[in-house]
Amino acid sequence: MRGKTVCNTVVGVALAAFLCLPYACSPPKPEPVKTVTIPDGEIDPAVWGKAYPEEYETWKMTEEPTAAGKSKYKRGFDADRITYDKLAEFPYMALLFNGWGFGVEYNEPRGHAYMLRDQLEVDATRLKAGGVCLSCKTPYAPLLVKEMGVEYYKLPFKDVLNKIPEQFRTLGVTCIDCHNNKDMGLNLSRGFTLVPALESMGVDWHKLSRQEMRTVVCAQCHVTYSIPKNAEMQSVGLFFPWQNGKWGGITVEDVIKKLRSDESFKEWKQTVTGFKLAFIRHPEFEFFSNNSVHWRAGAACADCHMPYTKIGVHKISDHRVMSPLKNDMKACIQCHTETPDWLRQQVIAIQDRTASLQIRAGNATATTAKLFEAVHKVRDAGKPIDTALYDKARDYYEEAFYRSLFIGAENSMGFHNPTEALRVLGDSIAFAVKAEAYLRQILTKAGVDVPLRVDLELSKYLEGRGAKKLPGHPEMEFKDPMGVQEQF
Amino acid sequence: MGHAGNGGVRLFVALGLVVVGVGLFLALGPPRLLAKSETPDFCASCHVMEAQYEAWFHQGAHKRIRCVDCHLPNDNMASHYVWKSIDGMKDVVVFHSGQVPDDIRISGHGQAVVQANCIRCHETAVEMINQGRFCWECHRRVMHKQTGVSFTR
Repeated sequence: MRGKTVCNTVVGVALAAFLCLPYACSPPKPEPVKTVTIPDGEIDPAVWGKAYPEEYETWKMTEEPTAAGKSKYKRGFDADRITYDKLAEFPYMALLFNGWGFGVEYNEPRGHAYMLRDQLEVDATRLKAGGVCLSCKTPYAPLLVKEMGVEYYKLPFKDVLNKIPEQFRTLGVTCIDCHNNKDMGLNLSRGFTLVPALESMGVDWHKLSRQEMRTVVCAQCHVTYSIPKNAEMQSVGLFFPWQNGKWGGITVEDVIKKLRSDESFKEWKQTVTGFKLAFIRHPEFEFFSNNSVHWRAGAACADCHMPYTKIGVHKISDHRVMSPLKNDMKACIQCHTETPDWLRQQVIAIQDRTASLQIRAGNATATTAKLFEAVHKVRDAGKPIDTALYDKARDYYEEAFYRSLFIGAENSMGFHNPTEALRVLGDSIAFAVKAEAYLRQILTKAGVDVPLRVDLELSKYLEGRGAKKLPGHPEMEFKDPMGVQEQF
Repeated sequence: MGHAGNGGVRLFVALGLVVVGVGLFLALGPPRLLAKSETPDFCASCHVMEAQYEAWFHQGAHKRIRCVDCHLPNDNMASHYVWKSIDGMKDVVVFHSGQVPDDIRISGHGQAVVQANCIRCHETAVEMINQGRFCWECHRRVMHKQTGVSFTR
């Protein structure tokens, strides 16, 4: 009897399980069908585009401009096809950068698709540093560095460019620079620059979250960098000056301290002052990640510059990287409930205030540079000058110069970190005017009278630049939107 | 053999069947109690849920679907009813013991359930993007707290 009960129970349980199991199983998760495998190391974006056509199409659209007038400060890649000369927009830059390529031709950039083509069209003095200039412009850069070693940095730009297969010689950064071909996860291709820079701050990129990677892949290029030179002024390397900084806190002070710490980091000679100086380029990542409100809210670069967009039936990250202003604030309204017009007005207000102080800082620094020119004339004529005042003035001048340069080179006109922009520019002004005061004192002591307003002689630096004899463009100039600069 | 003997067992089984029958009748028959317990009105019968109910009621597209469509697993029936029981009993205990916080926040498991339901309905739209990030980190107006936030002109 017991055996039969056991048997019945077992059969009963099995039957119950058989009847109930269908209700306890979920259907398999639908996976999109993979029709294409992307081979390892494949650089051609068209091959990647076979597997991800929507992302590929939007990536290609970085070749097309948007309507003019959407961004007040970042013109130059709009449907009007006007190239905006940054030196004409901010004439003080023409004075400060006179002495190398940046003082010859410095235009507002076009879309990502043009990054290498822009290099080929700009004045050749911008490429004097050599093959190192290709580091952020071609997917072949990591391969070339590996293959050529130190020669990659110093050989002439054209020689290194010609090592790239002909069909890809105008190809800007593409899929392989940010993605791994197996699962489209984010990957760092610039192991020779960003990875050591992160390690110097104690950050192992393999441990970063996906959201952090959505910022860090952009930090492969949207950062400041330094090209150390050897005794013959040849480029011998490329690094990011973050050694004094930390994740979420690479300050301009950290960068300046690093740049001023070694003579080999001085890449060029400023004509007006005769000083050999380092340089700061587009520090978007450093600036944005330094405790800005959007960084603290957890927004990544891709959240604003590659917002999710519906293409047909799929939602994808919009690979048409561009200013959110030019994208009609689509990225902003993902989180902000205000209307696009309201948001645009807020952005412009922030940018206007930054521009105002940037113009103040730049002109104050340029004035100080001009006074150095005067002091050097006096010194060269044999008159003695107060060295204590001079040394202090020089120290403050460099501090002012690098600060105004940091914000001037950063491409958001303050929006990425508004309060930090104003802080840095404020300090730039403080250092510049103090240096100016010391220089005026030196000149007075040497018996030289200095006028109320120092003539910057800007047209001298703006007219007839480079091989193309570029003219000044007074209509492009950004005047202080707050109307204060005219008092100076 | 039990102490009650054959007749006792039969009585026990008969009573059991009656109880089960009444239960099934109440749940699935005309009173439709099981279906009623799946409705938003049922969830809102605890007054602490009033804010969430009103937010949902005034919301956009998601006004057409029920609380359980987002907040309970819907990938299979067993999972759905198991979690309905667990969450339901937890809510009963917490509510009647007066431990409901002023600021009601979703639990970690609750977030995973909601995320899975977002993906369940919007599968095609999100199949090409990362699904690990919670949808409502950007789509804030879908949540109960930020629903109906006015546009600033």
